[in-house]
Amino acid sequence: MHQTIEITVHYFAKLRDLTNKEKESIEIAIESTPKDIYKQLNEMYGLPDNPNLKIAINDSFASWESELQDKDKLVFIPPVTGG
Amino acid sequence: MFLITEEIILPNNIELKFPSSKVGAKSIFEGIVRDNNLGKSVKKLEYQCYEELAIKEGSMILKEAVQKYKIDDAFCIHRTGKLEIGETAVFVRVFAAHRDDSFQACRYIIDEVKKRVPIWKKEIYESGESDWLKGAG
Repeated sequence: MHQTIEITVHYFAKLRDLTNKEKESIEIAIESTPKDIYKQLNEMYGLPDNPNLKIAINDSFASWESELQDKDKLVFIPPVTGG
Repeated sequence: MFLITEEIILPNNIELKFPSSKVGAKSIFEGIVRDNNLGKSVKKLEYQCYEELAIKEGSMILKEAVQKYKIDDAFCIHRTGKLEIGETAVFVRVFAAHRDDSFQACRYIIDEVKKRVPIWKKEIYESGESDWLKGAG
C-alpha cells in the first residue's frame, strides 16, 4: 500500500471561484510536488491548463518541484492585481 | 510598517507627523477606486488577499525601499473586501530628508506592491457582470 500524507490547499481569486472553496485538506502520495497536485486539481475542477501561477508552501514562495511534507499549507498564487 | 485592513482607510487618521526634525520631505500615494476600466462602467471592487504572505512581502518591499533610498520611514496600508467608488484602496507614505528620495521611494513601493503582493482585484460592473483582473505577472 502507498504511504500518504495530508496537506491543506488554499484557493484565491479565480481558483476560489472555480473550486467554490476557500481551502480543503487532501490526501496525497508521499514525495508529491505542487506540480503533481495541480494536475489532480485540474482534473477535478477544470482549473486552467497552462497557469501562470506562483507557489507558496507554509506562507513562503516555493518551487513547483518542491517535495510536499505532511501538514503543509499549499497555495497556488495567480498573477497579482492589487493597488 | 505594512498593513492589510478590511476597514475603510481614512488618510486623515493615519499618523502623518514628521518623525524627526531631520525630515524635510513627505510623499504620499493614494490609490482610489474609479468608476470605469477598459471602457466598462465599474460599480464596485472586491479585493481578496493572501494575508500571511502579503504582510511578509509588503514588509520586505518597505525594507528594500529603506535600503535603496535615503529615507527615514515608509508606511503602506492596503484595503481588502468590497470597496465603493471613491474609497481608498491603497495608501503609501514616505518621510525623507529630501524630495528626490522621498518621491522615488514612494514610487518604488507602490510599483512593487502592485507587482508582488498577493492581492487580487475583482471588478463588479454596472451590467451585473464581474471579473477578476488579469495581472501582468
